[in-house]
Amino acid sequence: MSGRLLVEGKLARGGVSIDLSVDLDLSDPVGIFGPTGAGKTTLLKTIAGLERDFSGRVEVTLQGQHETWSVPARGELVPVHRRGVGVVFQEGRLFSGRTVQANLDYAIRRARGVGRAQDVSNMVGALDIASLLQRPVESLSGGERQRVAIARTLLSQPRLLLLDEPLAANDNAHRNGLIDYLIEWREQHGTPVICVSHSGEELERIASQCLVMAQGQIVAQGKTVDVIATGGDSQTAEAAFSGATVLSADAVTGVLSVQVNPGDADNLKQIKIGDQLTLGVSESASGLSAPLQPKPGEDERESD
Amino acid sequence: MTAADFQAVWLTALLAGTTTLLLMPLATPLAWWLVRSSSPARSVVEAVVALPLVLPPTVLGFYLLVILNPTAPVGAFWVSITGQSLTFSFSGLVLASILYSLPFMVQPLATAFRSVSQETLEAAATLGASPRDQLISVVLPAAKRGFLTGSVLTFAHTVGEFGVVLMMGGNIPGETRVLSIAIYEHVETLNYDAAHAMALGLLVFSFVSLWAVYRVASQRVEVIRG
Repeated sequence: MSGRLLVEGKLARGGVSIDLSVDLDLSDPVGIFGPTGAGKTTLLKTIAGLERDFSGRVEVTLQGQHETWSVPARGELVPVHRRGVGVVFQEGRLFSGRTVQANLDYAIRRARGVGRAQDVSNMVGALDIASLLQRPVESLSGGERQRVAIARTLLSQPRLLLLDEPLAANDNAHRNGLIDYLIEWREQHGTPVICVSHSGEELERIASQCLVMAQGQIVAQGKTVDVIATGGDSQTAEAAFSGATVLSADAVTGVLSVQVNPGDADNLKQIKIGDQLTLGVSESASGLSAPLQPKPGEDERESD
Repeated sequence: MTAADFQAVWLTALLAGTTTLLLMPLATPLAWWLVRSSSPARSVVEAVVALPLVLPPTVLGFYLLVILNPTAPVGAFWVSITGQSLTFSFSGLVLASILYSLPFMVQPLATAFRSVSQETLEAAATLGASPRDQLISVVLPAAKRGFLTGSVLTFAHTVGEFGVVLMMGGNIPGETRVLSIAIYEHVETLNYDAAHAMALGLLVFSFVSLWAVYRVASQRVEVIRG
């Protein structure tokens, strides 16, 4: 289940831009976390080959095979359909005018391991879509569409699975079942997984390592529990500063940028990634424009 | 109606059928290009395709006559290959009809192709479908209604052609004497009964064709069941 992914380059189109260099070990599932507009979806689409404007390098090693998918000067080398990257899009992107079964058949007919038996009935049961098979996709609810989209992508037997907010439209009961099934499927198939989510809790269950993105850049990378720090595993750090200015506060990721006085730089060394900090902010604190809600939320969905 | 009139009906049906069948494979890639291309040439091509909608048929017929007659380079080239002239012949009529009916096939197809979003095609690509596969498995099934509408409109429009046919083909029984020319000839010779019979037939046919198009357009699309 080993693999590596290197993405290095930039993209600027309208309001979307990314500028990053990331080298990922795909042995364990990777989570991508960040606020709306951070460039998470754009990064996934870049990996899949769907971002024509991306100028940079994408290289992968999957199943021991090294492949260069795009290089700076020559752009796309490997077209989307040859990459073997399965994408579960946030909005499902099911084929309209067809039943759920026809959507699944489309993937089965084009599956990379054609002839390799797939336990379709187990999958449709686990994803709770067995009763929907004969329904036209237009009649499905948001959660149902997402579950069908997950099934369709898994049935195409991808070499690399990219999930973009795959559970956002589902209720809690379905969400837990879906996470369990995705973990089980990954273990069975040994397919590397990269998952974008707004929910820290969701990512902690799905992905053991995580990238945090903001404004098109990677702002943190490491173990999910450390980077997102929603759980109680991290320690509490204590440090005293003579003065500090809050530069920005992100309500969704809980990322807070604070500028401390140069004389307090040594105190920073006491804080490790993943530590939980308690901040005392005086009423006269300058630069604080946004209300602080440091706990990562799962109430918002990315709209792009 | 005389045997010659029935021959005109048959010739009209043959011309309209041939035009529709030939135009479909020609208009499909053209419509696809018009929908997908971001080339600056696109608006020029769009305008050229739509020209027959606004141009008097006699103008188109006149230029075709000038370009395709056996003394002109294109016409002479055709004669050297086939031994037949494009003017005042059935094959010339087919060529003229293809040009004259082009927007009637291209525009419904372009509208249908526009309904297939880039996002849908991207989803198909991530499932392993090559661009050709996407065209066959996603775009064409979604454009079924467009093909039907385009075919009916092209057929009906070709049946109703007059000006271009008269300029390019004249009035040669069995070769270029189509329904509209036959009606014109009957009126000229004051044979109103025959003109009535044929005109009424054409009126009913045109109405039924358009009614069929609107009916198809208002119907729910059949769901593909896998």
